[in-house]
Amino acid sequence: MNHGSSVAALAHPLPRQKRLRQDRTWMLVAGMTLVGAWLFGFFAGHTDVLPQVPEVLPGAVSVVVDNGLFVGLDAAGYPIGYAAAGEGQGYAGPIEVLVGIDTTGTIVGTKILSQKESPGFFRLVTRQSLPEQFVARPVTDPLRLGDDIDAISGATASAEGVALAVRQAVRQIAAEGLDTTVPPEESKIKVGLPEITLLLLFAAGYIGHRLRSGRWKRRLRWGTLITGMVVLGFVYTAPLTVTMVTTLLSGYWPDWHSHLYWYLLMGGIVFVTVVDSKNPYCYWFCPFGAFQECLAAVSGAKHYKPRRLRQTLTWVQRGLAVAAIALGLALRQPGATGFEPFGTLFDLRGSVYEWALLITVVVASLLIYRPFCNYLCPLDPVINFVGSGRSWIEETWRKRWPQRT
Amino acid sequence: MEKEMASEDLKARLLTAFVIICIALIGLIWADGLLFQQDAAAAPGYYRQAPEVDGSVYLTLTAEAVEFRQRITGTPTPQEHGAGQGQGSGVGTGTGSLDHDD
Repeated sequence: MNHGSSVAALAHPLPRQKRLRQDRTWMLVAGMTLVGAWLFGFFAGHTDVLPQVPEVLPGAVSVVVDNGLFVGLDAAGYPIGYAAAGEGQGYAGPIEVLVGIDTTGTIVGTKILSQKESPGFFRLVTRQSLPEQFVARPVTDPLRLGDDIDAISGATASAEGVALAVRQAVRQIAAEGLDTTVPPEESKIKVGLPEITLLLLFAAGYIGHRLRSGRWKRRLRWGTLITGMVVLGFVYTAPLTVTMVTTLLSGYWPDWHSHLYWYLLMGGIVFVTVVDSKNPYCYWFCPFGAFQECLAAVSGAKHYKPRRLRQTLTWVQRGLAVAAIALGLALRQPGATGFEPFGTLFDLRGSVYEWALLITVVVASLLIYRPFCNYLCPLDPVINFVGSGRSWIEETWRKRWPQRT
Repeated sequence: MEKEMASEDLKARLLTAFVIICIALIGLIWADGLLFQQDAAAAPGYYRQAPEVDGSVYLTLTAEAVEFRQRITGTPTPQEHGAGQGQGSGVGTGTGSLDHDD
């Protein structure tokens, strides 16, 4: 972690030229790995929906495709219902749900075809049988969480994605199969406390970078750290994660009306890093960084990166970042390759391994200053990558067109 | 000096151990996540089973029920009655309106 200084300037013992060359080689190799992973994921197999239709249309002996709908037929060849696949944006990417509806307009079956969510979130959705809640409901029902469908606490985005996918499929079947009108999907812009807090934190970080007084800068920084930890961490569980980066690179961009926070966070970080060449997030309001810093303040833990291990530790951290993103891109599973213990801490939910990682990091945080940020977090290398890329482009521009700069 | 070096060495070893443990846990988190995705993809759908009436089961159950009733009450089953004849008549009145509710 580079403490808010220029993102390109890593604390290396190597001479500047050698470090620069090494950083650029790393950027090229990482870039090529990610492009390769992206292409692999793009051409990898897609879900074949047709064989799965009888699972949501019980009694269907055969299935034909008519006008984009799957029509289930009984033994005599009469239609017994329709099926369609809908898609809704979850936390890490689109969730596809296959919905079966009988000829009277009642949902008779649902099946999750594909999802990209973090296992921790999606386990809650399946354990609480969310897809089952839609079964036996007429197509004219609202089919909304918190309305006629029970919301899933702790996995709101994933549950919203499932509900949205079901409504999309229902709308298609109602219009094309049943000739019934279903109210259109509302597209309201979602602005609330997290979005406003985020903008204020960006503004505070921007001002903080420019403050000359060390004391005021420290105070402001503690203010942003605590606000970030409480609001973005414990209240909303919305920190930046490597899953969000992989989602961005996969092209699974969510609808901005309902995911404005996602755009503000990702866009804000990229914008400030490119324009200002500063990391606006890690040092200023990362909720997990703030939590580790609070532990360090209590225990008096100091920064520790021994000279002989510095290079190795930097490469390990970069390797973890590239591996997480490349794996997510190649398998098109952004949610499955995130490993940060943020959700485990702020939502108190996670697998045994996630809890073990969190406890290890918490114990280490009492001895070393921000150990997760300094040795493991994949986000610092990602933000460095953007900043170094910006510096490289700027330098090339200056060399090539000196008169224009 | 030597003591300081030993302490520094121990700290570096502890740090290395911390990083290795964390990497092992991260590997397990990835494996767990990817296995979950595989299982989730293979999970069956939810559906409402259409009611299917098996006629023979219905009749058997009815026959059993009748037999049981006869055994405990001594009432003969309808088949045991002799054929009967009957005559009847009836008268009815009614009112109507032009309102209808469709």
